[in-house]
Amino acid sequence: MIELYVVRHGQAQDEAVGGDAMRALTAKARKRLHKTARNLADRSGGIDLILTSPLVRAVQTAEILAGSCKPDAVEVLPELAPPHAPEAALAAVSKRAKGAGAIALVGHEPLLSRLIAALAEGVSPGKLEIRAGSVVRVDVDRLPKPRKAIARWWLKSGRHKGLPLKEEPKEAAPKKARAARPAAPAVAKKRPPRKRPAPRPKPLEASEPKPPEASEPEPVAPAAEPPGLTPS
Amino acid sequence: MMRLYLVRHAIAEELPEQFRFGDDLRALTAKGRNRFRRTAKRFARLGEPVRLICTSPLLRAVQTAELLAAAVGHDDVKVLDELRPDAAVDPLLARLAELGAPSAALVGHKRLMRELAAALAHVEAERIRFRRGAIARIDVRHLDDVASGKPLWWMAPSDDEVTPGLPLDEALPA
Repeated sequence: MIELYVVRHGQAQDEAVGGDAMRALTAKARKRLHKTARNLADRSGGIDLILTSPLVRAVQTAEILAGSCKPDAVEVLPELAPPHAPEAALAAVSKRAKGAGAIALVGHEPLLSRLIAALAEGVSPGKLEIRAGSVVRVDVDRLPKPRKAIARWWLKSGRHKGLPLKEEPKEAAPKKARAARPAAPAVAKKRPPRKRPAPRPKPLEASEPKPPEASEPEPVAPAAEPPGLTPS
Repeated sequence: MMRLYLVRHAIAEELPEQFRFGDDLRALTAKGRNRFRRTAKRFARLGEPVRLICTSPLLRAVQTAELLAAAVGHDDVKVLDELRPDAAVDPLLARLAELGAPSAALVGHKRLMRELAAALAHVEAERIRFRRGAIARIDVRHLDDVASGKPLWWMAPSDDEVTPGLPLDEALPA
C-alpha cells in the first residue's frame, strides 16, 4: 500500500500585494503547523516525498512539514494548484511517486476533497471538510487509480479516525469527529460496540486526548454498502 | 542599528517543467536544498540573532527562506513584494524601516541583493559576486542613509568559515 497524506495548507493572510498566489501563512498558522508536523512525523512511519502546490502558502506548509518529517525530497507539482482536476493531480502524483511508499500532498480546497473522493469511490467531496492545516491519511494500493483505498485517520490538533466529515445533524453521533470539540474523543469511546476488539484503555502516545488506535482500518469504499464508506 | 543578512536563494531548476508557469515557479533542486541546509546550519551555529526573515514571493526564495527559518529556529517569515527580482533598493529599505526589526535576513535574487550590498558597502554592483545560497552580513546605522552601511562578513555555500567583507570579484582592481 502507498500511504498518502493529504495536507491542506495552513491559514494564510487574507490578501497579498502580489495576489492570491503570494498569500503567506499567518504566524499562528506557522506555529500550529510546526505542531502538526511533529505529530505527523511521530505517527507516520516516515514520509519519503512531499509534493506541493506552487502557491506560497502551500510551499511554506510543505517546508514546515519537511522540517520535522525529513523527507528525501520536496518537489513542486503545479497540478496541485487550484485550477486542476483531481484526476490530473493524481496522474501527476503517480508520475512523480517513483516507488515512494509514503507521500504527502500539500494543496488547496476544494481540489483536495475532490482528490480524496476520486481515490475512494462513494465518498462525496461535498461531505468532506478538510480544514486549513489538517492532514488526512488515505492508503491506496496503487496510483493514479487505486482499486482499494482505506481512510486511516486525519490530524488536526489530535488524531481522528476515518475522514474529516462535515457535521450532519441527522446522522449518528460518532460522525462528529471535529477537532476543536473537546467532546470528540469521549464520543468516539462511547461508540456502540462493534465486531472489533474493545478499544485499548490508553492511546499509544499520550500527549493529548485522542481516540484509541483502531485495530483494523475500515475500508473507505466497500463496494456493496455506501454508508460504510463513511469512517466509523 | 540594524543587522541585515542578505541571502541569495539557493540553486533552482534551470527551467520550469511547465513553461506556462514561468520564472516565478522555479523550485530548488535537491542539490540546492542540501547545500543550503548545510549553509543555514552553519549560519545558525554562529548564533546570529535573526529577528525576522523576509523573502521574495518567488518559489525558490520562499523555499530558501523556510530552510533558513528551520535552521535558525526562528519563525517570523514575511513575504515582501519589495524583494521581487525587479524591485529597487529604496522601496525595500523603506519597507524594512517600517518593519522596524533590529535584525533581518533578506532572501532575494541576484540583481537586487547585489545592488543592495553595493549601495550599503559603497562598491560597484558589478564587482560583487553573490553566489546562490550565499549569505552576507551588513550592518546599517540608519536605513534611510545607505552611507551608514558596513559590510562585516559573508559565507559561501561551500565554505566552513565566514570571510570578512564582501564577496568581491578579484579580477577587477580594488
